[in-house]
Amino acid sequence: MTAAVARTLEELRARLAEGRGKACLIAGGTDLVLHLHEHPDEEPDLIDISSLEAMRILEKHPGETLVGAAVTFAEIEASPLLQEKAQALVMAAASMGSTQIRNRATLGGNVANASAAADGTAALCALDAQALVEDYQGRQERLPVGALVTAPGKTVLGPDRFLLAFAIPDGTGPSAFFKVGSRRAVAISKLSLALGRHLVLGSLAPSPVRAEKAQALLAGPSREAFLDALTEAVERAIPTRASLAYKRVAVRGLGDDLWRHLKEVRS
Amino acid sequence: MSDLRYVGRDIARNDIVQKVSGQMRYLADLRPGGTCHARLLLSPVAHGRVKAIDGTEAAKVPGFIRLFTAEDSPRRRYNSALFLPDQQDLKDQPVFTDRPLFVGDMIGAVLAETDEAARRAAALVRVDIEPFEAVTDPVTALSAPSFRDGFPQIVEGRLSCGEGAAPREGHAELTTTVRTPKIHHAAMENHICRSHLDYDDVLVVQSPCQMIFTVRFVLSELFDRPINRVRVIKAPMGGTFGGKQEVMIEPACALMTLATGLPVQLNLDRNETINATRTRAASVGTVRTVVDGEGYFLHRETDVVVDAGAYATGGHRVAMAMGKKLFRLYRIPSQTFRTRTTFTNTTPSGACRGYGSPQIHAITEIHIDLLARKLALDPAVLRLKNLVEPGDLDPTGAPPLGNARIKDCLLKGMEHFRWNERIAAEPGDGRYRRAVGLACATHGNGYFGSPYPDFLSMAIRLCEDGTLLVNAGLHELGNGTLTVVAQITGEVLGLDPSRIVVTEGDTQTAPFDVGCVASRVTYVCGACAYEAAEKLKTLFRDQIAEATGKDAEGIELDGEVRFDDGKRLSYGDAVCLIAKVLRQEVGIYHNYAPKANPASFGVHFAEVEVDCLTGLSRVTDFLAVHDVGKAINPRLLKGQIYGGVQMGLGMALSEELAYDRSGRPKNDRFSRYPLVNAPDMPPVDVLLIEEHEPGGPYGAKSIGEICTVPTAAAVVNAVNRALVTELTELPLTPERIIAALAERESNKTGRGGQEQVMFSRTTGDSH
Repeated sequence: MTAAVARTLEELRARLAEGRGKACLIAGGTDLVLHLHEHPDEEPDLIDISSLEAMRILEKHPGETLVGAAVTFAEIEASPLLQEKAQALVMAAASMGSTQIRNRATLGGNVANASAAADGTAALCALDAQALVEDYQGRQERLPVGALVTAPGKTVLGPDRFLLAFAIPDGTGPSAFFKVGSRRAVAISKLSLALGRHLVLGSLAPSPVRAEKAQALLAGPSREAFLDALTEAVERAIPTRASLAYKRVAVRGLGDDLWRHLKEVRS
Repeated sequence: MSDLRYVGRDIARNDIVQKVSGQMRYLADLRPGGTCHARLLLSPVAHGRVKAIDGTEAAKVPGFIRLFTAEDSPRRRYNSALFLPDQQDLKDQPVFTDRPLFVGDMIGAVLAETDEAARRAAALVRVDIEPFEAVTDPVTALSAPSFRDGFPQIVEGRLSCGEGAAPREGHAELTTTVRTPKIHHAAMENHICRSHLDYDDVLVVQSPCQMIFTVRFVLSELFDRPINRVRVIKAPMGGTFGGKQEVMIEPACALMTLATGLPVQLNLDRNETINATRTRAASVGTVRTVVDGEGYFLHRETDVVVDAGAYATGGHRVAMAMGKKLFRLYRIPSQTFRTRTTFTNTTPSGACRGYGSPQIHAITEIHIDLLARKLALDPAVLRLKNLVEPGDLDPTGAPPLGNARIKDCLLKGMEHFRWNERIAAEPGDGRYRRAVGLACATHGNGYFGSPYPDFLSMAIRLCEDGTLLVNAGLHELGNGTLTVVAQITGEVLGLDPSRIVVTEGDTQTAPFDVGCVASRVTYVCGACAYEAAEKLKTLFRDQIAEATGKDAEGIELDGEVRFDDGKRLSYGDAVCLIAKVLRQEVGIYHNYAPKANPASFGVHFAEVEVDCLTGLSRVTDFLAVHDVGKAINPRLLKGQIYGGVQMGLGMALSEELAYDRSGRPKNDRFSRYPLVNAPDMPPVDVLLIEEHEPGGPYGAKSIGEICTVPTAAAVVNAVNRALVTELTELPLTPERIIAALAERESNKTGRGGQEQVMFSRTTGDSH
């Protein structure tokens, strides 16, 4: 196992080119270090990107807000820009892990780790965000965040590509994020609900699941109809799973939270 | 007793600066070097047979020293709870096994020059195991064939008193079954041990343990070494809660030292500590109580199945300890208790804060609340009719209850918690429901009256500078034992506790002590310290009189020597004078054996708010009332209560070691094992009843275990009241709460549909 620091994109591309296949990017390390600790026989060549400037951006561009992949959850939580443009992401960041974890964990790491319970991914999907993906030769492309994860722990990125930043479009309307875990804080989401341009449910499938019908009812007069639609969305997503009995009810709790939140915001 | 100078005061604990400033050196903090490092090979299957172990790749790791397997293990088996040769518990555990009986069973270890090399090499060892069918449920296990060759699958025990109750008009009865979970101790420090061979062929083992003499005894038997060539030293400890009470990884560590002659450090990480050490025993208890028309208990039957896990360990002792508590809380003229300890392919159970007491009280106290509901009585009122009184006897012939102040606890607690007002409040019918609950409990003060002899000795000496050395086989578990002993001896001798050093155990230098277990430390060891200090004081006075030629009657010892002629002498100068004139040390050796084992009591009150949609329960207010005799150090005592409540809340709401059908643990890491953390902790109010317990130092009795005993039942009772449910399967996870609500609604409406749980009303919402 080796470890190197990449401070610029050029350094990162060079490292990836030379260490192809064995290279492994590390930012906050809040997931990766645990994994390596449990698998001492794996010996990847680590490239630390936590101080790579291009991945640390948090800025407003025409029509969108860019959040670097190595921006930490603590930084997201405290960002006035994101509080204005991407409240769902701010709420997701604030509810994720402990203070210590949020100080280290990055948005890019949360997405790339490809956990079904990734709060950052759910918020980004709701906000219709795109991932700025680059390969070791400097070729860039934009992918919808929802298209990154292919299976639990697996993404389309492969060994040659990396996440540079996320682009959150303007004008997604009021956004919010709610989750339920085994306790109030420092808990992995059993279920999350994120609203932005889309209304999505996290922790049900490898990637967040859209709840279109419920979203349409969110503007309507009947909270019950909205909650029923959420229950239906859960039933459709996990018809046979043992956790259905719980989640079909719990989602109503999150829906109720959202309903009240929007009422507060609007008034 | 207001003239006490040190007892009853919030004296700062002796190690506070070291601990808070991070200077305390736990075994894991020792600088690298000077020792080899070992990592265990743990069984990945719940039941099986090791066909082959291949260390070829592991041996290529630089720094690899040796692979250990079952072949290196002594033929002899041991029981991790034994401490004297006459104890008959089954000896069924090998050091390393080729017949693993649970995920985490030790099948070997790798020794290397560094911890990193040991980890890497251990990960590269290829183990070929033939898996067998596993049994994970204790009730299923009752009728399963034994997987422990030649050992019984069930160990049964019974206790009883009285003649039963014939059915009669006006009597009522209720039967309830309660399940309590298997629980991880979750001490901050994982298991760790160091061993080496010292001068004169003495095996030295440093371990953060609770019973150095038990570790010494087991190691001596296992490795066939004279007891005086096994030296066990209590290492600084980062928590135990019983998890380090039994002999755990010391045999494996010592085995590697004895086989190689090398110093060895054996570390476990959290996942290994959860899987490979001990747990709180899961239990399934069924209680039937018969009451008369006024609510007085006439007869009670309790039948408990206790899950010992894969090895006997102290599992059956825990089961019997459960039974004993049943006869010491309520006046019940007739009672039977039957327990069946059974074996599953899961992590062995053992000591865990309360030693069965939290389980048995969860079973009976949840039952009593449901009984109160059936009788349409306030659960506090039902209890008040039946609770024991000071001076009551134990109907089974166990030691008398002593100054049993449980009624004071309940009455004062009800007032303080505004019970009558809060019990009358409606839980509400919206998304959030709120209600209060309470539970009572009792626990012991040592081993007196049990099959295990309870005694210890201390050697205490005044030094030439007037400081005091209390040489004792104690174990600081983090609860303040050393500070409390210093306060007691300091009070007797008029010495500020900061001038007293109380030692931790070292089997080569400290007098014998059974161990810092069984809620015996303050009541038993503290009483020994008290008597020893009194004895030293008498000796010191006599020595001064002899050395100075003055009358002993006219000498007062009050932090300094005061003569009736007004002259004064410092303790140090007096010690030196005695050395010169009398050629004597100012020191004594005192043996102490308690003559009583009174009961400690507590009542916990909880207020909960349950979210009927997410199923999350939040404890919003909490009061712990405890009959402690006398608080030697109120702040330390309250600290124990706060921690005890935190553990009990976890047992009630979130903590559970569960296994899948093949016996694989589902919760063997903290991310999947939700402990109650700071945001979920309620404010905990503490009310102490200090009515003096005879036999205890300054009237003190135990708190360390009792303070986690009533918690779970109090919370469950509050939840059941809030939801009008009869939840009896702990912990009350959100999933179980939602399922219970769904079931209740479908019963109520006679429809199977789950839609009925989806509440349309929400508190505080206007539309």
